[in-house]
Amino acid sequence: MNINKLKSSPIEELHIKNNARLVDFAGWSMPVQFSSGIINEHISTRTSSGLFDISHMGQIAITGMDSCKLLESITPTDIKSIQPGRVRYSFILNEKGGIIDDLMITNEGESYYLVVNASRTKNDLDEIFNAAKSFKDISINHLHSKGMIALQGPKAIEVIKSYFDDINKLNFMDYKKTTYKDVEVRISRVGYTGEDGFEISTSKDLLLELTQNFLNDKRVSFCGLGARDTLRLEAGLPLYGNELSESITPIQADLGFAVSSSRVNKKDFRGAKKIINEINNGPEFSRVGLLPEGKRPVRKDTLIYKNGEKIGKVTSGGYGPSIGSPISMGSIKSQFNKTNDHLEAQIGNNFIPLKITSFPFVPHRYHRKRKV
Amino acid sequence: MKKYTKTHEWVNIENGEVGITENAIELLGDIVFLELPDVGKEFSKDSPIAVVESVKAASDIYAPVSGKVTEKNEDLETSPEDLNENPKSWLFKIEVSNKDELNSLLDEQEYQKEIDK
Repeated sequence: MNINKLKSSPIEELHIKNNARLVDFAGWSMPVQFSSGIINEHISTRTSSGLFDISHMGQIAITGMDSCKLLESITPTDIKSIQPGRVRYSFILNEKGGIIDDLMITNEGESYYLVVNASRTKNDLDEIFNAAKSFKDISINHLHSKGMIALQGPKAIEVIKSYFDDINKLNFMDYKKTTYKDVEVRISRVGYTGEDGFEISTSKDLLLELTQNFLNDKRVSFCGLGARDTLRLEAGLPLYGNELSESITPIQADLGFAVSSSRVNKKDFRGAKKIINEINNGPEFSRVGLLPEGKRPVRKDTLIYKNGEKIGKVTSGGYGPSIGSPISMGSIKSQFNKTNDHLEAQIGNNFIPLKITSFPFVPHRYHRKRKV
Repeated sequence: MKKYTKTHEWVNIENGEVGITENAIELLGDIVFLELPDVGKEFSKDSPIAVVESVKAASDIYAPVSGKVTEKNEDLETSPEDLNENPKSWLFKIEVSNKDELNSLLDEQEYQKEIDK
Protein backbone atom coordinates (compact mmCIF):
# COMPACT_ATOMS: atom_id res chain seq x y z
CA MET A 1 0.00 0.00 0.00
CA ASN A 2 1.40 3.37 -0.97
CA ILE A 3 -0.19 5.78 1.45
CA ASN A 4 1.01 8.80 -0.55
CA LYS A 5 -1.18 7.90 -3.47
CA LEU A 6 -4.37 7.72 -1.41
CA LYS A 7 -6.90 10.51 -1.63
CA SER A 8 -7.33 12.40 1.58
CA SER A 9 -10.43 13.78 3.26
CA PRO A 10 -10.83 17.52 3.76
CA ILE A 11 -10.96 16.83 7.50
CA GLU A 12 -7.84 14.64 7.48
CA GLU A 13 -6.18 16.83 10.13
CA LEU A 14 -8.98 15.95 12.55
CA HIS A 15 -8.42 12.22 11.94
CA ILE A 16 -4.79 12.62 12.93
CA LYS A 17 -5.52 14.92 15.88
CA ASN A 18 -7.96 12.32 17.24
CA ASN A 19 -5.54 9.35 16.87
CA ALA A 20 -7.37 7.66 14.02
CA ARG A 21 -6.20 4.30 12.76
CA LEU A 22 -6.16 4.95 9.02
CA VAL A 23 -6.76 2.42 6.26
CA ASP A 24 -6.97 2.41 2.48
CA PHE A 25 -10.69 2.39 1.71
CA ALA A 26 -11.50 2.49 -2.01
CA GLY A 27 -8.37 4.55 -2.64
CA TRP A 28 -9.00 6.96 0.24
CA SER A 29 -7.11 7.23 3.50
CA MET A 30 -9.96 6.89 6.00
CA PRO A 31 -10.26 6.14 9.73
CA VAL A 32 -11.31 2.60 10.62
CA GLN A 33 -11.49 3.53 14.30
CA PHE A 34 -10.38 6.07 16.89
CA SER A 35 -8.75 5.37 20.27
CA SER A 36 -11.92 4.38 22.15
CA GLY A 37 -12.47 1.44 19.78
CA ILE A 38 -15.23 0.17 17.52
CA ILE A 39 -17.56 -1.10 20.26
CA ASN A 40 -17.51 2.20 22.18
CA GLU A 41 -18.03 4.19 18.99
CA HIS A 42 -20.93 1.93 18.03
CA ILE A 43 -22.64 2.16 21.42
CA SER A 44 -22.14 5.95 21.56
CA THR A 45 -23.93 6.27 18.22
CA ARG A 46 -26.88 4.18 19.44
CA THR A 47 -27.16 6.02 22.76
CA SER A 48 -26.00 9.58 21.99
CA SER A 49 -24.44 10.52 18.65
CA GLY A 50 -21.59 9.49 16.39
CA LEU A 51 -19.84 11.61 13.78
CA PHE A 52 -18.59 9.81 10.66
CA ASP A 53 -16.43 11.27 7.92
CA ILE A 54 -18.02 10.18 4.64
CA SER A 55 -16.12 12.55 2.37
CA HIS A 56 -15.00 9.56 0.30
CA MET A 57 -18.53 9.10 -1.01
CA GLY A 58 -19.19 10.43 -4.51
CA GLN A 59 -21.43 13.48 -4.86
CA ILE A 60 -22.91 14.27 -8.27
CA ALA A 61 -25.33 17.01 -9.36
CA ILE A 62 -27.36 16.55 -12.54
CA THR A 63 -29.18 19.52 -14.03
CA GLY A 64 -31.09 20.23 -17.23
CA MET A 65 -34.52 19.53 -18.70
CA ASP A 66 -33.66 15.91 -19.44
CA SER A 67 -32.17 15.02 -16.03
CA CYS A 68 -35.29 13.17 -14.88
CA LYS A 69 -35.37 11.10 -18.09
CA LEU A 70 -31.66 10.38 -17.81
CA LEU A 71 -32.06 9.02 -14.28
CA GLU A 72 -35.09 6.96 -15.25
CA SER A 73 -33.03 5.41 -18.06
CA ILE A 74 -30.53 3.92 -15.58
CA THR A 75 -32.64 3.28 -12.43
CA PRO A 76 -35.91 1.40 -11.68
CA THR A 77 -37.22 4.44 -9.78
CA ASP A 78 -40.14 6.73 -10.62
CA ILE A 79 -37.88 9.79 -10.52
CA LYS A 80 -40.76 12.18 -11.36
CA SER A 81 -42.50 11.19 -8.14
CA ILE A 82 -39.61 12.42 -5.96
CA GLN A 83 -40.89 15.73 -4.63
CA PRO A 84 -38.51 18.69 -4.20
CA GLY A 85 -36.75 18.35 -0.84
CA ARG A 86 -37.12 14.57 -0.76
CA VAL A 87 -34.48 11.82 -0.92
CA ARG A 88 -35.03 8.40 -2.50
CA TYR A 89 -32.94 5.21 -2.24
CA SER A 90 -32.28 3.74 -5.68
CA PHE A 91 -29.93 1.71 -7.88
CA ILE A 92 -28.05 2.20 -11.09
CA LEU A 93 -28.74 -1.08 -12.91
CA ASN A 94 -27.05 -2.86 -15.79
CA GLU A 95 -29.01 -4.37 -18.69
CA LYS A 96 -29.31 -7.69 -16.82
CA GLY A 97 -30.88 -6.03 -13.77
CA GLY A 98 -27.64 -6.33 -11.75
CA ILE A 99 -26.70 -3.51 -9.41
CA ILE A 100 -23.92 -1.20 -10.66
CA ASP A 101 -24.37 0.83 -7.47
CA ASP A 102 -26.92 1.71 -4.82
CA LEU A 103 -27.35 5.43 -4.21
CA MET A 104 -29.41 8.25 -2.76
CA ILE A 105 -31.17 10.58 -5.21
CA THR A 106 -32.42 13.95 -3.96
CA ASN A 107 -34.70 16.33 -5.84
CA GLU A 108 -33.13 19.72 -5.11
CA GLY A 109 -35.63 21.58 -7.26
CA GLU A 110 -33.17 22.96 -9.79
CA SER A 111 -31.21 19.67 -9.98
CA TYR A 112 -30.92 16.08 -8.84
CA TYR A 113 -28.23 15.45 -6.24
CA LEU A 114 -26.75 11.95 -6.06
CA VAL A 115 -24.66 10.37 -3.29
CA VAL A 116 -22.88 7.20 -4.43
CA ASN A 117 -20.40 4.69 -3.01
CA ALA A 118 -16.72 5.67 -3.06
CA SER A 119 -15.70 2.35 -4.62
CA ARG A 120 -18.25 2.78 -7.45
CA THR A 121 -18.01 6.51 -8.21
CA LYS A 122 -16.00 6.00 -11.38
CA ASN A 123 -18.34 3.25 -12.67
CA ASP A 124 -21.35 5.44 -11.85
CA LEU A 125 -19.95 8.48 -13.67
CA ASP A 126 -19.10 6.32 -16.72
CA GLU A 127 -22.65 4.99 -16.71
CA ILE A 128 -24.24 8.42 -16.29
CA PHE A 129 -22.08 10.06 -18.99
CA ASN A 130 -22.80 7.18 -21.38
CA ALA A 131 -26.53 7.39 -20.79
CA ALA A 132 -26.40 11.18 -21.19
CA LYS A 133 -25.37 10.77 -24.86
CA SER A 134 -29.02 9.99 -25.64
CA PHE A 135 -30.24 13.28 -24.19
CA LYS A 136 -29.82 16.94 -25.13
CA ASP A 137 -30.26 19.16 -22.12
CA ILE A 138 -28.06 17.61 -19.44
CA SER A 139 -25.25 18.90 -17.29
CA ILE A 140 -23.35 16.51 -15.00
CA ASN A 141 -21.18 17.88 -12.22
CA HIS A 142 -18.99 15.66 -10.01
CA LEU A 143 -18.81 17.72 -6.81
CA HIS A 144 -15.10 17.04 -6.10
CA SER A 145 -14.72 20.08 -3.94
CA LYS A 146 -17.31 19.04 -1.34
CA GLY A 147 -16.71 17.03 1.79
CA MET A 148 -19.39 15.24 3.81
CA ILE A 149 -20.03 14.01 7.34
CA ALA A 150 -22.82 11.97 8.90
CA LEU A 151 -24.04 12.84 12.39
CA GLN A 152 -26.05 9.88 13.63
CA GLY A 153 -27.87 8.84 16.78
CA PRO A 154 -30.74 9.94 19.04
CA LYS A 155 -28.94 13.14 20.16
CA ALA A 156 -27.87 14.21 16.63
CA ILE A 157 -30.85 16.57 16.35
CA GLU A 158 -29.98 18.27 19.65
CA VAL A 159 -26.39 18.79 18.51
CA ILE A 160 -27.18 20.11 15.05
CA LYS A 161 -30.23 22.29 15.72
CA SER A 162 -28.36 25.31 17.06
CA TYR A 163 -26.41 25.60 13.79
CA PHE A 164 -29.23 25.53 11.25
CA ASP A 165 -32.67 27.16 11.35
CA ASP A 166 -35.73 24.92 11.12
CA ILE A 167 -33.67 21.75 10.95
CA ASN A 168 -36.11 20.03 13.33
CA LYS A 169 -38.80 20.39 10.65
CA LEU A 170 -37.04 17.80 8.51
CA ASN A 171 -38.33 14.22 8.70
CA PHE A 172 -36.58 11.01 7.64
CA MET A 173 -35.56 11.24 3.95
CA ASP A 174 -36.13 15.01 3.81
CA TYR A 175 -33.51 17.37 2.40
CA LYS A 176 -32.74 21.03 2.67
CA LYS A 177 -30.21 23.34 1.07
CA THR A 178 -29.23 26.05 3.51
CA THR A 179 -26.25 28.22 4.42
CA TYR A 180 -23.93 28.62 7.38
CA LYS A 181 -21.82 31.79 7.49
CA ASP A 182 -22.99 32.40 3.91
CA VAL A 183 -21.57 29.08 2.66
CA GLU A 184 -23.93 26.60 0.97
CA VAL A 185 -24.72 23.46 3.00
CA ARG A 186 -26.74 20.41 1.90
CA ILE A 187 -28.44 18.56 4.76
CA SER A 188 -30.41 15.32 4.49
CA ARG A 189 -32.12 13.58 7.40
CA VAL A 190 -30.73 10.17 6.38
CA GLY A 191 -27.96 7.81 7.35
CA TYR A 192 -26.75 4.24 7.33
CA THR A 193 -26.84 3.27 10.98
CA GLY A 194 -30.56 2.63 11.58
CA GLU A 195 -30.67 5.70 13.86
CA ASP A 196 -32.07 9.17 13.34
CA GLY A 197 -29.41 11.46 11.93
CA PHE A 198 -28.13 13.75 9.22
CA GLU A 199 -25.72 13.81 6.33
CA ILE A 200 -24.11 17.20 5.84
CA SER A 201 -22.22 18.21 2.70
CA THR A 202 -20.39 21.48 2.22
CA SER A 203 -17.12 23.13 1.20
CA LYS A 204 -13.94 21.70 2.65
CA ASP A 205 -13.19 24.70 4.87
CA LEU A 206 -16.64 24.91 6.38
CA LEU A 207 -16.77 21.14 6.87
CA LEU A 208 -13.59 21.34 8.90
CA GLU A 209 -15.03 24.11 11.07
CA LEU A 210 -18.41 22.41 11.58
CA THR A 211 -16.82 19.03 12.34
CA GLN A 212 -14.52 20.60 14.93
CA ASN A 213 -17.51 22.32 16.53
CA PHE A 214 -19.55 19.11 16.63
CA LEU A 215 -16.62 17.18 18.10
CA ASN A 216 -16.30 19.76 20.88
CA ASP A 217 -19.83 18.79 21.94
CA LYS A 218 -19.64 16.14 24.67
CA ARG A 219 -22.61 14.31 23.18
CA VAL A 220 -20.63 13.52 20.01
CA SER A 221 -18.13 10.67 19.48
CA PHE A 222 -15.85 10.54 16.44
CA CYS A 223 -16.44 7.18 14.72
CA GLY A 224 -14.66 5.28 11.96
CA LEU A 225 -15.59 2.86 9.22
CA GLY A 226 -15.45 -0.08 11.66
CA ALA A 227 -18.43 1.22 13.66
CA ARG A 228 -20.16 2.31 10.46
CA ASP A 229 -20.01 -1.34 9.36
CA THR A 230 -21.26 -2.87 12.64
CA LEU A 231 -24.09 -0.29 12.81
CA ARG A 232 -25.28 -0.89 9.24
CA LEU A 233 -25.03 -4.65 9.75
CA GLU A 234 -27.26 -4.53 12.85
CA ALA A 235 -29.65 -2.26 10.93
CA GLY A 236 -29.86 -4.95 8.21
CA LEU A 237 -28.59 -2.57 5.53
CA PRO A 238 -26.70 -3.97 2.53
CA LEU A 239 -23.17 -2.94 1.56
CA TYR A 240 -21.97 -2.70 -2.02
CA GLY A 241 -19.32 -5.37 -2.67
CA ASN A 242 -20.82 -7.62 0.03
CA GLU A 243 -24.58 -7.94 -0.47
CA LEU A 244 -24.74 -5.99 -3.74
CA SER A 245 -22.93 -6.52 -7.03
CA GLU A 246 -23.41 -6.41 -10.80
CA SER A 247 -24.68 -10.01 -10.72
CA ILE A 248 -27.26 -9.43 -7.95
CA THR A 249 -30.66 -7.84 -8.62
CA PRO A 250 -32.57 -5.62 -6.16
CA ILE A 251 -35.07 -8.46 -5.65
CA GLN A 252 -32.32 -10.96 -4.72
CA ALA A 253 -31.00 -8.33 -2.30
CA ASP A 254 -34.44 -8.06 -0.61
CA LEU A 255 -34.69 -4.42 -1.75
CA GLY A 256 -37.81 -4.68 -3.90
CA PHE A 257 -39.30 -1.71 -2.02
CA ALA A 258 -36.95 0.52 -4.01
CA VAL A 259 -38.24 -0.68 -7.40
CA SER A 260 -41.15 1.69 -8.20
CA SER A 261 -44.44 -0.04 -8.96
CA SER A 262 -45.21 2.47 -11.74
CA ARG A 263 -41.98 1.43 -13.48
CA VAL A 264 -42.88 -2.25 -13.01
CA ASN A 265 -46.26 -1.57 -14.65
CA LYS A 266 -44.54 0.16 -17.58
CA LYS A 267 -41.76 -2.49 -17.81
CA ASP A 268 -39.49 0.30 -19.04
CA PHE A 269 -36.29 -0.04 -16.98
CA ARG A 270 -33.01 -1.89 -17.37
CA GLY A 271 -33.34 -5.58 -16.54
CA ALA A 272 -37.14 -5.20 -16.30
CA LYS A 273 -37.84 -8.66 -17.72
CA LYS A 274 -35.66 -10.45 -15.18
CA ILE A 275 -36.66 -8.27 -12.23
CA ILE A 276 -40.41 -8.49 -12.93
CA ASN A 277 -40.10 -12.26 -13.29
CA GLU A 278 -38.38 -12.37 -9.89
CA ILE A 279 -41.10 -10.18 -8.36
CA ASN A 280 -43.78 -12.56 -9.68
CA ASN A 281 -42.09 -15.92 -9.22
CA GLY A 282 -39.47 -15.29 -6.55
CA PRO A 283 -35.71 -14.91 -7.05
CA GLU A 284 -33.31 -17.88 -7.18
CA PHE A 285 -31.30 -16.43 -4.29
CA SER A 286 -32.38 -14.30 -1.33
CA ARG A 287 -30.61 -12.07 1.17
CA VAL A 288 -31.26 -13.30 4.70
CA GLY A 289 -30.37 -12.36 8.26
CA LEU A 290 -28.51 -15.06 10.20
CA LEU A 291 -27.92 -15.50 13.92
CA PRO A 292 -24.94 -17.80 14.60
CA GLU A 293 -25.11 -19.96 17.71
CA GLY A 294 -22.39 -19.18 20.27
CA LYS A 295 -19.85 -16.39 20.28
CA ARG A 296 -17.87 -16.96 17.12
CA PRO A 297 -18.42 -14.39 14.35
CA VAL A 298 -19.31 -15.99 11.01
CA ARG A 299 -17.76 -13.77 8.40
CA LYS A 300 -17.98 -12.97 4.69
CA ASP A 301 -17.57 -15.89 2.24
CA THR A 302 -18.24 -18.62 4.83
CA LEU A 303 -20.21 -21.40 3.09
CA ILE A 304 -23.76 -22.19 4.25
CA TYR A 305 -25.23 -25.69 4.29
CA LYS A 306 -28.64 -27.29 4.91
CA ASN A 307 -28.64 -31.03 5.59
CA GLY A 308 -25.20 -31.33 4.00
CA GLU A 309 -26.17 -29.48 0.81
CA LYS A 310 -24.37 -26.24 0.00
CA ILE A 311 -27.08 -23.58 -0.37
CA GLY A 312 -25.26 -20.24 -0.21
CA LYS A 313 -22.69 -18.12 1.55
CA VAL A 314 -22.29 -15.40 4.12
CA THR A 315 -22.01 -11.94 2.55
CA SER A 316 -21.28 -9.90 5.72
CA GLY A 317 -20.71 -11.04 9.25
CA GLY A 318 -19.26 -10.00 12.52
CA TYR A 319 -20.16 -9.00 16.01
CA GLY A 320 -23.21 -6.86 16.81
CA PRO A 321 -22.19 -4.68 19.77
CA SER A 322 -25.79 -3.65 20.62
CA ILE A 323 -26.95 -7.27 20.49
CA GLY A 324 -23.86 -8.64 22.22
CA SER A 325 -23.51 -11.61 19.90
CA PRO A 326 -22.45 -12.45 16.35
CA ILE A 327 -24.71 -11.56 13.42
CA SER A 328 -24.42 -12.26 9.70
CA MET A 329 -26.14 -11.68 6.40
CA GLY A 330 -26.09 -14.24 3.66
CA SER A 331 -27.31 -15.08 0.20
CA ILE A 332 -29.07 -18.47 0.07
CA LYS A 333 -31.23 -20.40 -2.37
CA SER A 334 -34.70 -18.96 -1.87
CA GLN A 335 -36.48 -22.26 -1.18
CA PHE A 336 -34.50 -22.49 2.09
CA ASN A 337 -35.47 -18.98 3.24
CA LYS A 338 -37.82 -19.76 6.12
CA THR A 339 -37.62 -17.57 9.23
CA ASN A 340 -36.42 -19.48 12.33
CA ASP A 341 -35.15 -22.44 10.27
CA HIS A 342 -31.64 -23.63 11.07
CA LEU A 343 -28.72 -23.77 8.65
CA GLU A 344 -25.03 -24.49 9.19
CA ALA A 345 -21.89 -22.47 8.48
CA GLN A 346 -18.60 -24.24 7.89
CA ILE A 347 -15.52 -22.75 9.56
CA GLY A 348 -12.56 -25.10 9.18
CA ASN A 349 -13.82 -28.46 10.40
CA ASN A 350 -16.54 -26.93 12.57
CA PHE A 351 -20.17 -26.53 11.61
CA ILE A 352 -21.85 -23.64 13.41
CA PRO A 353 -25.67 -23.59 13.59
CA LEU A 354 -27.27 -20.46 12.09
CA LYS A 355 -30.85 -19.37 12.63
CA ILE A 356 -32.60 -17.47 9.83
CA THR A 357 -34.05 -14.22 11.14
CA SER A 358 -35.82 -11.21 9.70
CA PHE A 359 -34.22 -7.78 9.23
CA PRO A 360 -33.32 -5.57 10.97
CA PHE A 361 -31.38 -7.11 13.87
CA VAL A 362 -31.81 -3.84 15.80
CA PRO A 363 -35.01 -1.82 15.19
CA HIS A 364 -34.70 1.34 13.10
CA ARG A 365 -35.35 4.59 14.95
CA TYR A 366 -35.75 7.02 12.07
CA HIS A 367 -37.56 10.31 12.62
CA ARG A 368 -40.60 9.64 10.46
CA LYS A 369 -43.48 12.02 9.89
CA ARG A 370 -46.33 11.03 12.19
CA LYS A 371 -49.29 9.69 10.31
CA VAL A 372 -52.46 11.63 11.14
CA MET B 1 11.24 -14.62 31.22
CA LYS B 2 9.12 -14.30 28.12
CA LYS B 3 10.25 -15.22 24.61
CA TYR B 4 8.43 -13.95 21.56
CA THR B 5 7.56 -14.89 17.97
CA LYS B 6 7.37 -12.60 14.96
CA THR B 7 3.68 -13.55 14.82
CA HIS B 8 3.08 -11.86 18.21
CA GLU B 9 2.82 -14.86 20.55
CA TRP B 10 4.86 -15.14 23.76
CA VAL B 11 5.82 -18.07 25.97
CA ASN B 12 7.02 -17.77 29.55
CA ILE B 13 9.97 -20.15 29.72
CA GLU B 14 9.70 -20.56 33.52
CA ASN B 15 6.04 -21.63 33.80
CA GLY B 16 4.96 -22.51 30.24
CA GLU B 17 2.31 -19.80 29.97
CA VAL B 18 1.47 -18.74 26.40
CA GLY B 19 -0.21 -15.52 25.35
CA ILE B 20 -0.34 -12.88 22.65
CA THR B 21 1.46 -9.57 22.95
CA GLU B 22 -0.06 -6.29 24.08
CA ASN B 23 0.90 -4.87 20.70
CA ALA B 24 -1.15 -7.58 18.95
CA ILE B 25 -4.14 -6.96 21.23
CA GLU B 26 -3.93 -3.23 20.54
CA LEU B 27 -3.90 -3.91 16.79
CA LEU B 28 -6.81 -6.36 16.98
CA GLY B 29 -9.01 -3.92 18.87
CA ASP B 30 -12.13 -5.12 20.69
CA ILE B 31 -11.81 -8.90 21.20
CA VAL B 32 -15.08 -10.86 21.00
CA PHE B 33 -14.08 -14.51 20.59
CA LEU B 34 -11.34 -16.89 21.73
CA GLU B 35 -10.97 -20.57 20.89
CA LEU B 36 -8.26 -22.21 23.02
CA PRO B 37 -6.78 -25.71 22.62
CA ASP B 38 -7.99 -28.50 24.91
CA VAL B 39 -5.77 -29.83 27.68
CA GLY B 40 -3.68 -32.75 26.42
CA LYS B 41 -3.52 -31.51 22.84
CA GLU B 42 -0.08 -32.01 21.30
CA PHE B 43 1.20 -29.64 18.68
CA SER B 44 4.31 -28.71 16.74
CA LYS B 45 6.01 -25.33 16.54
CA ASP B 46 4.32 -22.77 14.24
CA SER B 47 1.10 -24.77 13.83
CA PRO B 48 -2.19 -22.87 14.31
CA ILE B 49 -3.38 -23.78 17.78
CA ALA B 50 -5.94 -21.16 18.84
CA VAL B 51 -8.17 -18.48 17.31
CA VAL B 52 -8.74 -14.91 18.39
CA GLU B 53 -11.37 -12.69 16.80
CA SER B 54 -11.96 -9.00 17.26
CA VAL B 55 -14.85 -6.95 15.89
CA LYS B 56 -12.64 -6.29 12.86
CA ALA B 57 -11.01 -9.62 12.03
CA ALA B 58 -10.17 -13.23 12.82
CA SER B 59 -6.57 -14.32 13.51
CA ASP B 60 -4.88 -17.65 14.15
CA ILE B 61 -2.58 -17.98 17.12
CA TYR B 62 0.49 -20.11 16.33
CA ALA B 63 2.35 -22.43 18.67
CA PRO B 64 5.61 -20.65 19.62
CA VAL B 65 7.30 -24.03 20.23
CA SER B 66 6.31 -27.71 20.11
CA GLY B 67 4.66 -29.25 23.13
CA LYS B 68 1.50 -30.30 24.92
CA VAL B 69 -1.31 -28.22 26.49
CA THR B 70 -1.48 -28.61 30.29
CA GLU B 71 -4.10 -25.97 31.18
CA LYS B 72 -6.29 -23.41 29.47
CA ASN B 73 -7.64 -20.08 30.69
CA GLU B 74 -11.33 -20.98 30.69
CA ASP B 75 -12.40 -17.67 32.26
CA LEU B 76 -10.93 -15.84 29.31
CA GLU B 77 -12.56 -18.20 26.81
CA THR B 78 -15.91 -17.40 28.48
CA SER B 79 -15.25 -13.63 28.61
CA PRO B 80 -12.79 -12.90 25.79
CA GLU B 81 -13.39 -9.14 26.10
CA ASP B 82 -11.41 -9.29 29.38
CA LEU B 83 -8.26 -9.65 27.30
CA ASN B 84 -8.56 -5.99 26.28
CA GLU B 85 -8.71 -5.03 29.98
CA ASN B 86 -5.87 -7.36 30.98
CA PRO B 87 -3.66 -7.66 27.90
CA LYS B 88 -0.88 -9.44 29.78
CA SER B 89 -3.13 -12.46 30.55
CA TRP B 90 -2.00 -15.94 29.61
CA LEU B 91 -4.24 -17.98 27.29
CA PHE B 92 -3.02 -21.53 27.94
CA LYS B 93 -0.08 -23.36 29.52
CA ILE B 94 2.18 -25.83 27.77
CA GLU B 95 4.83 -28.41 28.48
CA VAL B 96 7.66 -27.68 26.05
CA SER B 97 8.78 -30.87 24.29
CA ASN B 98 12.00 -29.54 22.75
CA LYS B 99 13.74 -26.87 24.81
CA ASP B 100 16.18 -26.14 21.95
CA GLU B 101 13.31 -24.49 20.07
CA LEU B 102 13.20 -21.74 22.70
CA ASN B 103 16.58 -20.50 21.42
CA SER B 104 15.06 -19.61 18.06
CA LEU B 105 12.55 -17.21 19.67
CA LEU B 106 13.02 -13.46 20.11
CA ASP B 107 13.78 -11.76 23.39
CA GLU B 108 11.78 -8.70 24.38
CA GLN B 109 14.20 -6.24 22.77
CA GLU B 110 14.30 -8.18 19.50
CA TYR B 111 10.51 -8.38 19.41
CA GLN B 112 10.26 -4.64 20.01
CA LYS B 113 12.61 -4.06 17.07
CA GLU B 114 10.50 -6.34 14.92
CA ILE B 115 7.29 -4.41 15.54
CA ASP B 116 8.98 -1.03 15.15
CA LYS B 117 10.07 -1.95 11.59
